[in-house]
Amino acid sequence: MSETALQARLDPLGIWAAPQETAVAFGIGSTETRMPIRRIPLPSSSDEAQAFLKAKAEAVALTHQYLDRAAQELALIGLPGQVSFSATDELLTQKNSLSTTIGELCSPVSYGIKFKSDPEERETQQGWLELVEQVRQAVTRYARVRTDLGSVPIGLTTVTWQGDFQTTWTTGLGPDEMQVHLDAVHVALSSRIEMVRMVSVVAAGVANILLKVAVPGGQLMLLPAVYKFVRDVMQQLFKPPQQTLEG
Amino acid sequence: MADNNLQQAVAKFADELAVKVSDFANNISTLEVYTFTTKPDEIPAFPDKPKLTDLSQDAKTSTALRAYTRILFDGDMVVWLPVNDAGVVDKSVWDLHQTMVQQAMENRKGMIQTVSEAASSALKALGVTK
Repeated sequence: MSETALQARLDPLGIWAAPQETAVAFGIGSTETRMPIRRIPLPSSSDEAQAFLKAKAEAVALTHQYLDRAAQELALIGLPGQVSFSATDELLTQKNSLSTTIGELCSPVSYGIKFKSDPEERETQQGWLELVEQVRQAVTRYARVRTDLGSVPIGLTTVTWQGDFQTTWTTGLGPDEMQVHLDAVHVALSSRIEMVRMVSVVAAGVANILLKVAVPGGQLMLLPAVYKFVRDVMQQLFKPPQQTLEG
Repeated sequence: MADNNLQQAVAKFADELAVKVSDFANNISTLEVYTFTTKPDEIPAFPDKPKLTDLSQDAKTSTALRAYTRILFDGDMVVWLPVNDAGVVDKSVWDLHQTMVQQAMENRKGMIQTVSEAASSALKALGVTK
């Protein structure tokens, strides 16, 4: 497995994606792909490293908040033709798209024909399968986080599924350097939880829709459709607010 | 084919999560947190699960177990404190260890809740339960 593919597998939410304008990068160092390590090479300055990790922690917190929003929106969807969305709703496009899909699934025309001929639908379905596999692996393997400041190793933490922690610290560290590894572990573990929550939100959304609408064999097609909705909602909410032009 | 893949993937996912939750329930009796120190060039790439024998230094490396906490389900705790050469508690290591214990407790709580919800939702979505 390539490092890029491995990184995507560990980080489907993109929380660890490094900003292009900095030299900071989230890398995965492992000679054993079955037991990958979240290796976090950070700048040698603990201040810069803490700032980087603070931004990542904020991204995780937003992910949690936006997944809640997606779940709330999904609870209100499910009756095609009987819902109306506000034109000023920032998620109008995503809601309309899902409502349309639900309507198609309820129609007597086979949705499978559309699926087979639509590359976007195939891509969505593949994305859903990959997310499920990523989460499955995340909860069946140890989480291991290694932090380096520049070229100086700081700490390595292994977390078992049962939640036992084993941390090895290098000697001679200052409080700020130690805090960097504590922050890195916190962000890594909380992002793993959010990844699992994403699957939970999708599955709960499907179950909720199926209670309201009769979709023949619906869960099979609804799962990727709702996954796409959640993914698109997250992308939309993560977009910076657009400034309005005046005059 | 695609339908079967989807159903199988989600069913496998839900089954494995359910097994995980069950495993967790069987192993919830203890939470263990280990804190080691080592020289920078000896930080392990792939550490084995530690064998708790004593708090002395590993003869082959500079790695030393400095602190250990075991929290039992009934509330009892086993704690091994880090001390310096003078026999005084090493506060910096102890503070770090306590922070890790706190993180471990929060992580365990978050994971079991999240995985339980994911397994339950996946089963409902598949129509296994209502």
